[in-house]
Amino acid sequence: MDKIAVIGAGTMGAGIAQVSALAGYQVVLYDISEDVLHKALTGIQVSIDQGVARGKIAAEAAKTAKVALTLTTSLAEAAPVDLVIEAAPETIDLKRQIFDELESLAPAHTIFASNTSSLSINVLASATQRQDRFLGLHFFNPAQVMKLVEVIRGDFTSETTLAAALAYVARLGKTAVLCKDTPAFIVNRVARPFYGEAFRLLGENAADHTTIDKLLKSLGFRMGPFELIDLIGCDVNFAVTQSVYEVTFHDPKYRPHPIQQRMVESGRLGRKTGHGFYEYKE
Amino acid sequence: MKVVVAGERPFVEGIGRLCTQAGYDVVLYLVEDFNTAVQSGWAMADAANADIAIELHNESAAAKEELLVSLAASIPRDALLLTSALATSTTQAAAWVPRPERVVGFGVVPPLQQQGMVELAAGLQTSDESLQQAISFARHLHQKPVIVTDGPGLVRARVVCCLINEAASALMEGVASAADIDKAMKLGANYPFGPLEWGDYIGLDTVLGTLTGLFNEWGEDRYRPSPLLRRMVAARKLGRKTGEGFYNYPKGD
Ligand SMILES: NC(=O)c1ccc[n+]([C@@H]2O[C@H](COP(=O)([O-])OP(=O)(O)OC[C@H]3O[C@@H](n4cnc5c(N)ncnc54)[C@H](O)[C@@H]3O)[C@@H](O)[C@H]2O)c1
Repeated sequence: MDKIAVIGAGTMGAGIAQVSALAGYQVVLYDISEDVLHKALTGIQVSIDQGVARGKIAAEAAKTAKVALTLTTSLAEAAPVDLVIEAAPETIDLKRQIFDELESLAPAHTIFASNTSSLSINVLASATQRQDRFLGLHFFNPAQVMKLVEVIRGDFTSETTLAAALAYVARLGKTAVLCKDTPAFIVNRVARPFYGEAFRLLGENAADHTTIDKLLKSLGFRMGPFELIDLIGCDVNFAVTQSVYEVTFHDPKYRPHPIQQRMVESGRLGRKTGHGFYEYKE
Repeated sequence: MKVVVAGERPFVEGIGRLCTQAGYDVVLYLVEDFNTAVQSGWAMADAANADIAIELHNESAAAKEELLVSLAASIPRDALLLTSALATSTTQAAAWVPRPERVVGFGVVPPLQQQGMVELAAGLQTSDESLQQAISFARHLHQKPVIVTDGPGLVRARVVCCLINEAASALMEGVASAADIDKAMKLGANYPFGPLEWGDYIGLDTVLGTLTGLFNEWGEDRYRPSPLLRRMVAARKLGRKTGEGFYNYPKGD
């Protein structure tokens, strides 16, 4: 496997393209917007240069990576590769449409992967004629830093496809975990109570948010739940909670908390608005 | 000052060590020994002149009640009685013993640390004086006291046991292997331990006891213990202390 296409040059797509190029792959980065592509490229170049300055990236690897990365707004130009990783917005119809178009543009051997956080790999794969060459590659934000990739097997993902994906993740220097196609996969699912119980405790007046954060950090969690939610964004955290609740047909253990909605509707989204559970001065 | 520490592994050893390091005269009762002792009609003679008694038995509310009642009967009338508020609330535990105003709830999650934090909670019966005594005792152990509202699991054990429960559900459903679930939470969410290895460390009996306590208190599905967890406890696969839990621990490890 040498050539990779990344579909969508947003936060995740740019990160995935960067780590792939640095690992020695030929990478074509696709987006519908020229503007987004150029911003992504600038971001990647700055990030690589910083890596070199900090001694984390070898100068030679940086040079090769920059040459290996190309941009396109033509899906037909992106398609002739060995692996496509889709990192477009989290909308089922949009993603299915992208895969449907790619199906006719990509060679038969091309493996399709989605970076979806919450959509079913089986459902996405059903938009193609290559369910055996389809899987999930769920990176974590920021993809340049986070070591984990959840490798999600659909019901029809072949062993060959899986082996190729695992080899790709290993070459990135990242750690793969194997996961069945189930709601929210591993991390986003198992972490639900970290937020859910924190909201419950706050709502019950068991302790204030600062105390809850302080207590959980005393166990070695790097951030308390409320600090983390402010970082992620209360809106994003609420959207993930709601999506897990919806896809599980309202399993009560995943029920969102009224505090989440109140924060979002008040525009107290966290760091990005300067105000969430905590205040953030400029 | 004499402290009696009674309950299960690894809590008793952990708290016992903190007490010894702080210079207290310490007597430990592990429930395994206690159960056989009670059957043979033996009393907790060493507890008769204790100043402070610490109960750490959370495999079930019934087991906690049995130990607390014996402990309360063995210690002086005015001794401070600290109950680990995991499998029940402090208020519930205090209701089982004479002079409930001397009962203060606390919460810790293993592995215990040298300069850690201890949650303290007053039951509805707890006197201010007892709470103050508990605060200064925590300080003597070099554990920062943090006052929280009473309830099973208090803050930390409640969050951690719910994480372990969700991980056990995912494991039961075949979402991923135990090792991959733990790896994912450490690398993808920066958790200090994987939830399953953490459960093995804490003891799955205590995890189940805490979840059952939450489930009974709230009557809500979110606290329903995973059937896998129930079965592992039924099979005495309790984690490190029995040599087998979600992982195997060869003897002497
Ligand atoms: N942000 C995270 O923390 C995170 C983490 C893991 C996975 N994900 C998943 O990754 C995917 C992308 O998320 P993101 O945060 O990078 O979003 P983003 O909004 O930053 O990027 C999405 C990009 O897709 C582009 N786009 C829009 N329509 C397109 C189309 N038809 N074809 C191709 N590109 C199109 C947009 O221009 C944008 O640049 C989502 O599925 C998301 O669930 C996000």
